[in-house]
Amino acid sequence: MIRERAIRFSLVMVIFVIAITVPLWVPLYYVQLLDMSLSLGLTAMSFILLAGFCGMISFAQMAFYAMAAYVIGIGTMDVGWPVWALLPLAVAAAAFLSALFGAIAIRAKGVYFLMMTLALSQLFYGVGLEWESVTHGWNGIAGISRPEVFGFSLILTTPRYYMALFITALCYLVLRRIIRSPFGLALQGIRDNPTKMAALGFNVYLYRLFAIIISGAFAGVGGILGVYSTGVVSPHTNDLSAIVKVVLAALIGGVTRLEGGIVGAVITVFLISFTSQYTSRYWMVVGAVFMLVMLFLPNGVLGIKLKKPSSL
Amino acid sequence: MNGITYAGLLFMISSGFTLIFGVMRVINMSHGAFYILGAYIAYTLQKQTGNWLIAIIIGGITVGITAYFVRLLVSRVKGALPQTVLTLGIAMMIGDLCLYIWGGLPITVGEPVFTETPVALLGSTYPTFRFFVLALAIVTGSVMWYVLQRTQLGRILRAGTDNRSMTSALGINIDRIFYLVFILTGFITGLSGAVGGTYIAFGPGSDFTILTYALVVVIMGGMGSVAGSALGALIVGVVDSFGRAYVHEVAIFLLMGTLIIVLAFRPRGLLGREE
Repeated sequence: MIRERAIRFSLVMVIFVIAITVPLWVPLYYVQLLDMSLSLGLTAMSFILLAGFCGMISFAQMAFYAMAAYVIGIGTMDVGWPVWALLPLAVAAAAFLSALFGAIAIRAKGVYFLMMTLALSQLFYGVGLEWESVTHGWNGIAGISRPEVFGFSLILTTPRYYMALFITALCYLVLRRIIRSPFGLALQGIRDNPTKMAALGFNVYLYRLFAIIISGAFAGVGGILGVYSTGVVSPHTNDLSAIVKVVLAALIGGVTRLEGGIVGAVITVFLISFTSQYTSRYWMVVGAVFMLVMLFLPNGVLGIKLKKPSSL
Repeated sequence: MNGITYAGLLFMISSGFTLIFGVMRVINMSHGAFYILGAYIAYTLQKQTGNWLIAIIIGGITVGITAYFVRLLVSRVKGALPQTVLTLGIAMMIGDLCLYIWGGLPITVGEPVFTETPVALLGSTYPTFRFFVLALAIVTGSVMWYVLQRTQLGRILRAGTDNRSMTSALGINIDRIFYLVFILTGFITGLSGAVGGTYIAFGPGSDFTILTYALVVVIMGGMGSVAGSALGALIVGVVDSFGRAYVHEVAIFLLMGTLIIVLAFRPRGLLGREE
């Protein structure tokens, strides 16, 4: 027990040190990739919160992500609001959208829920594409200016990476706290046996809805990181390939643990980046990896690691 | 009128989708990919042979064969959710393969000779081909209705939709039925892709637009119900055409709003039943 804890502590320290020092010893391009992985990873964690701890596979996470990104994009470029007002507004907008989608989709369970969220998020894609006077249609909004934090402009990759690292780590801790709180335990109870939890006096509907709203808000934070990372928001922020990336990240990492989202996101982003250097058929590769993960690694990468201690 | 012919196409697309969902509880994410694969194959064949009819039928058959292999892969995974997610990976691969072979420009399948002259209707002319699409959809729907309601296969399918484990306990090889449903669905979807590809332009990305419409139709009509998807297709077709004609940019909100209103009153869709 103590040894296990020591191993875990040293592992956390190693990851921490690597994460802090990485901009010093890798090319800037990789820092940019890591920055993108963090926004993807945060969104994947919001997916895992629902999938792993509430038993709801939501394909709408990228819609919440895109909602926040659109608020930042439109707010910065078209309306000209200050950043301090836009950030909470973006998260609130993502949470609002998730409340709306959640209220519709929540009565459906299992595959039905997945189907509803997919349909809703694809309708939201349509909104981005067709409501040209607001969303700028197909091209979206590009060249979104980044704010300055403590005198460092976030247009530079390294300060942006540290900012994303800080926010993602913070969100991870908050999410972990939520999962271990009575609220989170109730959610896991509802996942395992909703009828029993309802009989125990838990309002299953409200618990599920709150879980979706929380997850939507975190996906929104991911969207803010993402939009500052790329400087672009367009319908493609929320197209099916983006959804595939989130789901793939969560599945590669494993949906049983929050950390899976980050691990999976780093693997996904680097996989896509490396394969796209050699071939323009990288979606083929991604699709194949996706299939292989589903066929042979249903518990994800972290799932394998976890098995060993229990078998000893 | 545009709305109704469009609804005919939507029905052809979504009927197979709902059939797979009905018996297998799997959302076939590669449905849209089936559609564009059928459309692309028909496009090439029509160009090579000039015969539209052969082109669409071979398009349908090819997709039917593809569907067989998709089912083969899907059967390797246990559980409806993982199976659904697996089909998404397959969809990415088919979509990318089509992009690789046929390139990124939107195209349409050449129209058949027999519909070249438009018909006069209420003082204006109207493309004959659209009537043909509507007629084809009605024929497909009728055949499907006949098979489902009047034949032994249909009885098995309906029983499978209601209670899968009981059906297989009665000595019916449900696994073979699943293969059959996948192949038939592939054929119908490939066919509707070929026909739809003649009707509206398609290209990379169309696969997911089609998937979205199929989802909306099936959710609205009630999942697993073929009659429901006919009704859903009619509503979506009319609402969407109306929206596109009159409110342009915000047409998608009209569609979304309709879906939300329907679900608010009928959470299982118009003709859907409780689980």
